[in-house]
Amino acid sequence: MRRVLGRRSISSTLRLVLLITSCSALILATIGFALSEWASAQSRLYENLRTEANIVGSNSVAALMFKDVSSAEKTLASLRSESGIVEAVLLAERGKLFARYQRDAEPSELHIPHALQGKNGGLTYVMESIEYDGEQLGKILLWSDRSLWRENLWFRTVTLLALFVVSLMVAVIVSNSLQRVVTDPVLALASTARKVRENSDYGLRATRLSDDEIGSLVDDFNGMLEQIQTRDKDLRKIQETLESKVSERTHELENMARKFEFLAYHDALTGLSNRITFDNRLIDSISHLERHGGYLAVIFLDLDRFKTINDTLGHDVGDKLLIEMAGRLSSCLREDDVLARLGGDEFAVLLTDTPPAGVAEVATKIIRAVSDELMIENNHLHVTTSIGISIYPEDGESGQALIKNADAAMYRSKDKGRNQFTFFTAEMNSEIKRRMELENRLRQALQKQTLSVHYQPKFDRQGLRIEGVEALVRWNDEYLGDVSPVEFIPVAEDCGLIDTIDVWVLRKACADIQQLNNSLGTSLRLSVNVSPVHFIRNRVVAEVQSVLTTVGFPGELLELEITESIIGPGVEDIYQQLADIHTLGVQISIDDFGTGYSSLSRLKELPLDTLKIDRSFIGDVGKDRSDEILVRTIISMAHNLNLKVVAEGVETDNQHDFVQRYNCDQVQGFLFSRPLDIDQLLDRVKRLNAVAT
Amino acid sequence: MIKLRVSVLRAVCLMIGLLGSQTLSAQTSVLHQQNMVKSVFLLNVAKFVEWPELVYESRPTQLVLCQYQNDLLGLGFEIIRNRSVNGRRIEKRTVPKLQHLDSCDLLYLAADQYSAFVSSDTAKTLNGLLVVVDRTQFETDRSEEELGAYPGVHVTLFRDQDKIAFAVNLQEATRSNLKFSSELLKLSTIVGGR
Repeated sequence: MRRVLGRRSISSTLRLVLLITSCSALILATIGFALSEWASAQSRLYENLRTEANIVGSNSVAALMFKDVSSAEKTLASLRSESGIVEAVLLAERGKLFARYQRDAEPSELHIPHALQGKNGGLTYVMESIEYDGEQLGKILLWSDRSLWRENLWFRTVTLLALFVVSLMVAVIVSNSLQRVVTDPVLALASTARKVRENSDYGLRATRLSDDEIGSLVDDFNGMLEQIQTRDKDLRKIQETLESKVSERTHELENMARKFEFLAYHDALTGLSNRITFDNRLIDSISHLERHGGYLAVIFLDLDRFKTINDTLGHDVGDKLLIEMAGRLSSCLREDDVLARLGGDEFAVLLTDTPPAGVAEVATKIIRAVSDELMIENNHLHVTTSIGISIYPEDGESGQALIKNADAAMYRSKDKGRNQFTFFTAEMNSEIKRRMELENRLRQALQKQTLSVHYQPKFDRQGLRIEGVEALVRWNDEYLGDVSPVEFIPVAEDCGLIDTIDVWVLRKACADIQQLNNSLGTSLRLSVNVSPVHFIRNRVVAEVQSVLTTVGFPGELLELEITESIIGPGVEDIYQQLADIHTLGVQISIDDFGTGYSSLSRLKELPLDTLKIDRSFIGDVGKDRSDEILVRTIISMAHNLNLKVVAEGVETDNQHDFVQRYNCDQVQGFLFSRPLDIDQLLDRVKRLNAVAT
Repeated sequence: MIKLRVSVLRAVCLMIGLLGSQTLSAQTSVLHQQNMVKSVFLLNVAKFVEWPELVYESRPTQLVLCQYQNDLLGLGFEIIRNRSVNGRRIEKRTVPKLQHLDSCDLLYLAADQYSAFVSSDTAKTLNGLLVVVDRTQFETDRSEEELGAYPGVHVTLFRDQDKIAFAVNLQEATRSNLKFSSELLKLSTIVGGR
């Protein structure tokens, strides 16, 4: 029903509802009345008949009493005026017929029923007693047909129907008017709502036309519009704010997109091109060269010991160092040159239209620029770079080959001592492979502890007495065989294993010499090489102290051999660290002295104990007069600074004589002894002690 | 011969006697029937008459039907004995003198007794006495002269062919403070005005 009514307008629905209600009520009322009328007509008929009978009976009393039949018949005949009465029978005592009236001319058979009222043969009858003064005189029987009753009923029914129709019409008119009482306010409200919807004008308000629930609805509707209007205003404000924020954010996103795009092709830290860009430019340049010819060089470089600086001073310092280096590198190049940071501390330069000589100049410029003094966050840093160079097409015809070969050349630079550049040669590829293999095997060796320590005795000036030994790490790999420290130490330094190796050697050597001294009753001194890494990380004191404590080796018998570069610029707090080492009783020896750039003032102020003259100078004794002077000078200077001097690499008597002549304090070299394992050393010391005694 | 004559005479006398007795018996029967009918008539008339209130007060339970000197109704009255009119049981009395009518409600007179009644002083002063005169033995033409206008007579019974009819003198009824029901009047012949 809702579906049917829902399609209609509310006014027609209401009209229909009112009509249906009215009709239902009218129909029910009509039916009710009709039924009631039928029942009461029936009853009335009997009542009327009884009344008639009583009247006639009363009027017939005298006739009955005086047996005046004609008078009775006259009385009965008065019933002719009652069209419904078809027969009247006056019965005397004992039901004997006294008088009779029949409406129809043709007489019918007399029928006296038993009941006092009822129906028979389509006629209705009533029978009443006639009494007078307490005596029953007789009965009056009236027969009536239903024609009058039907007539009356029909008349009443028609009247009812007419009333029904009229009522219906009135209901239509009234409902039509009445529904407007309800619908007009509703339609007005709906109209307002439609206008609000169509025009989005929340300032409109509905007019209250009634004080009923619809009036309340109008109030609520207006209240709702009020709220909507307020919220609409707020929403507009928010929308405006949002739009401006969106616009702002869009700009930000655009900027971010540009930034991301930039970052896709550039290094985030330094702003330089990244590997992708470098590779693309390299490929494009090669393609160009293939068509037009020309020069192309790839320079591959990284910062020496950058990892140490990064780990020691922190990543902030490391990042700032990289940014500074990026700037310095850029200043060395032309605008057309491509400078990229490939990752970590690795940079690459693409030089086009530059002959090899020019490439070397660029490389030199880079080396100088990188090694210039640098101060970052109050840290005075001295950084060098190792550079490898490959040339198209000799060193490779593809970008990948050129980069790989430049990388190999870079490692060659490292092997040669860093802070230099090297052009690629064909042999370098195998060196790279070798290097990688060494790194892998060295890690395993450390893990499995397959390294070993040999000891090269240091003799007195005369070479007669062993005063101490220098611990030297040795490595015999099951696949690679004996690997020279000259080869694997640089690898260890580059891949960050050197500090682990140093500590392991220190611990092992202290333990070995402690045991030897204990067993022989000697006080052999031990010299152990320590990589600058320990000083850069400022952990050397703690590490040495830990070993001495753990092993129980007396600090006075220990000497740390450090390279000359340590006492150069670049290591903070070197004085304090060396002083702290001295407090442990440990002495400091400068190894390979003469190969670095240490100043005399530094030598003077730092708490050093010994200088070890580099073997290259000793090796030139008897060959190179200037080196001889150098050796003499070093010895003299050292003594003037109260430093002991050790001559390394003494291999000939001539060399021994020389250093001995100039009062070198100790000698070390193959002339006196090769490096020995601990057992060999033990034997050697025993024999020497035996000879001495 | 004489004996035969006597016998025949006896037989004849017997036959005459029988016939006479039968005739006498038949006549008695008819009279009885008539008296019954008249009695019933009188009772029925009384049912349609309203006496003055004093009458009901003085005789609340009785309705006295008086006859003058002769029991005219005879055994015919038996048919109405113990019947009531408006709760008043009808009784029959025979009064020797017309002065003794004070306790009567209804006076039934034969026609030949009327003159004695009408000439008495009682007839002039009676109030509330229904006087019925029986003129059924006469053939009548239903004229007022015949039926009514008898002073002091309220109802006159007369023969109408083979039925007993009655005439009512409303004037006299009014004078005697008697009221007749219209039902009765419908069946009666009205005499003496209304």
